[in-house]
Amino acid sequence: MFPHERSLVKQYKDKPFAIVGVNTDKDRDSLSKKNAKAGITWRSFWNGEKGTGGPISQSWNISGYPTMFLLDHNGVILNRWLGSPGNDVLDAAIEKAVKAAEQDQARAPRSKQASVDDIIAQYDFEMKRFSEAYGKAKTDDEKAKLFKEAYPEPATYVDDLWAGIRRVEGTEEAARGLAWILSNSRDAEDKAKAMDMLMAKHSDSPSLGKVCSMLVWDRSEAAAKFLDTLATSSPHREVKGAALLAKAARMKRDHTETATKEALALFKAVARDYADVPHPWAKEIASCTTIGAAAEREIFELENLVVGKPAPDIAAKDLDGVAFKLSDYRGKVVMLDFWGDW
Amino acid sequence: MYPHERSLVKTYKDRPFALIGVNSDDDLVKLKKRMKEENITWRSFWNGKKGPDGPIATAWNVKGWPTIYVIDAKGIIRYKNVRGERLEKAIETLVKEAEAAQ
Repeated sequence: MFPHERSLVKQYKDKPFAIVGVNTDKDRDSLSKKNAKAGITWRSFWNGEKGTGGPISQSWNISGYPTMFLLDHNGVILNRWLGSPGNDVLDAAIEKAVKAAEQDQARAPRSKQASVDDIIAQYDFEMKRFSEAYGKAKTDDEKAKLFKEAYPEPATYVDDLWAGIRRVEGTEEAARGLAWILSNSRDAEDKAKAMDMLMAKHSDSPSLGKVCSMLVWDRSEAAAKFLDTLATSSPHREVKGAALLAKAARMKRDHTETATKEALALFKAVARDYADVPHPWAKEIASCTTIGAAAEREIFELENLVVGKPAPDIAAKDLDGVAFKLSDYRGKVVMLDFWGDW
Repeated sequence: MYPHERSLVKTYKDRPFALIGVNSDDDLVKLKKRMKEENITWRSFWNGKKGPDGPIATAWNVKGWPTIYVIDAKGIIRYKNVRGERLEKAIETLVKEAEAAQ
């Protein structure tokens, strides 16, 4: 048993797991030496000088050795084994219980004193867990249930975040918190407040690249001013480039001839000046590589993917792995539908 | 969308029209089961394992799903992101145009 127990202790080192022994050796002194030699590092209650007749094993009515209990993180007995159940059974039971403990940990109410970075990390954790579960859900009912029970609603993070931001006002951590609120909150007042504070104290923060692309669809004057400020005065090329890209995307969104022309000119300047600057979303979104490349795609769309222009050909495989081309359908009207069943 | 698409495919069955998809699901096994359930018979390019982030949608700068282009019989883009009645009208106009040219 000892080697397996040693490996469990190691495996679950930073997880909510502990081995606790109840030791029935009569001689405590020689036992300590034996333990040190066997590499037994976990803590044990001592059953006293009477050995197996001691008080703890008596009150637990232990009839044979080893007897093992697996307790969950709330102290509830999950299993009782007389003799080893075998490593596979044991490992599976522990793994399941530790996972449940971790999930509960994540769901546990946040301390009012939680830091901005901790709150954001918790949101990221919950969001990842939700997305994974959502991807595995098979029916619409399952999906709806997940949304109701596991979707990390941004509004439930905002109050604690404001408190955390106030405690570290003026720091880079505060800027990250404000950018998070501006990106994720659906409350106009929260967003406006976050934007004001960012403008007043953090316009030189390096953490504002991501938030720029979130403001493309925000039609407020404040959002336009915010992007203008970053585009002219941020000392960070990533932030500056992201702000210009978002500015151009806002113009494109208007669809008027003048705005489209202006958008195209700005996209061209961004493609030229920011070709080597990583896109702020590069880590999360595979198609986002550099700011310049994102601008190039916008230029391609404005110049080629418009009414009156020939559709660029597509040559790829269908869902059965058979190659075909969009141009195979010349002579027919084609409704080209970018779709997904997700 | 599916019922509308199914009816378009049926309406224009023997006329110069094709509904071509660019599908952005990453799990083809799951998708094919769904296609059977929904009776999705039209052909689609596959956007690859990266799902919406795959190469075709990236090249076409697609950011919203679904995105729809209507292309005439000569291969010219004639409508972009039309829906509902406007989509039906667009297709009807172009199909008639194609038939007149035949």
